[in-house]
Amino acid sequence: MRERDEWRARRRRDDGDLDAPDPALERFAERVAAPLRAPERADDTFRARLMATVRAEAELTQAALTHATGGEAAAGASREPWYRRSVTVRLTPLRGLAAAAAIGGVMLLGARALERGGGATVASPPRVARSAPPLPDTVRVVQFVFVAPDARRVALVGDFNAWDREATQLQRGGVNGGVWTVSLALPAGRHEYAFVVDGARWEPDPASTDAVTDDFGVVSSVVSVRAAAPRLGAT
Amino acid sequence: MDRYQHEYVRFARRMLGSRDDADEALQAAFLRAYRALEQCRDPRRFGAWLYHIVANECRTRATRTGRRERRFVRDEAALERALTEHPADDDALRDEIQHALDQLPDDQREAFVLKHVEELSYDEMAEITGAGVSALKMRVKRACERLRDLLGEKVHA
Repeated sequence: MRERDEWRARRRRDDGDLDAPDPALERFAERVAAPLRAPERADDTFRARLMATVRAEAELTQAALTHATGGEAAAGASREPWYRRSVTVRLTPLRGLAAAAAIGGVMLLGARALERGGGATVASPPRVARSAPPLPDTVRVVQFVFVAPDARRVALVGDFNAWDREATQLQRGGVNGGVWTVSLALPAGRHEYAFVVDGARWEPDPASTDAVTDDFGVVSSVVSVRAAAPRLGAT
Repeated sequence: MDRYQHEYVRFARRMLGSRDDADEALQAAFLRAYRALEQCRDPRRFGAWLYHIVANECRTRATRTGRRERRFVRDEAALERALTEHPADDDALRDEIQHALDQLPDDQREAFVLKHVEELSYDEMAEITGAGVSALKMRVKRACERLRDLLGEKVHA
């Protein structure tokens, strides 16, 4: 036991205390690492090539499934829940006519019940809907503002530009030149975004009240773009 | 995937020292991730899960290509200019550091890049690499010492 403790103590002396690293070595590591942190971008064709490969693989998988034997297909179908299984019904001509008449009768009775007001959840489309625009506005212009007087450049990244640090640069403005802004047309929905200062520092939007934290503890902000209400009265 | 792509690109290039090798590694890693998407049980951990796959792919390729001829041509004069004029911005300095990084054992290079370039915590590194925190600290320390030997006085502490 004593020998082991001595061995451990000697090893600690040789290795240094890993929980209290040498400050000079830390400074050296920082000096070495700083140039290596320069942003790197994938080749412009990277995404297209990747998606082409994925699509090709998906098509091959689909083709393999299509050529599967009937027995395997049947086995697969039996694993589906009852409401998703296809059912084949064979009828004689006479029974087929009777079934058609029965279905038609049920539909007629249902329609009459709705006309009497019995179907509260199903209604004919209001006439005004036909004269309203077919789709509500789905794009809104959103202005992003970030205050950083000492920054040399500020970029906006988010799911709307594939988190590309080069895609959307903010313009410097304001009295002291410390207010950075950019306006973007965004589709309706919830968008995650952040600012990247000087190509490296990731900053959530201080003005945003909604934020998400990813699995590395990086915080991004959230903006919710609401679709314009449909103008029902418009003709 | 887009959200983390830039970090992955940088990590792969630092690990493999070449744009083409990094590009191939990332294509392969993303394809593997696509095939194994069902195994990512917690979507909130998607980033770490994908990082793990990227790191594995880079490690495998680094081992495979590790004995290849180095791609860097030393230009001492350019290096001196870079160090005295614009030490942080010059490509020559970055190439020289990358050259030194390439000479580290794969596990030390990986630990150094994750810790000091990607600035991850040791817990995050442990999740990505599967190694213990103590082992990772030791790899980082050894990597720093080796880099100091290789780069000498070119990068002053």
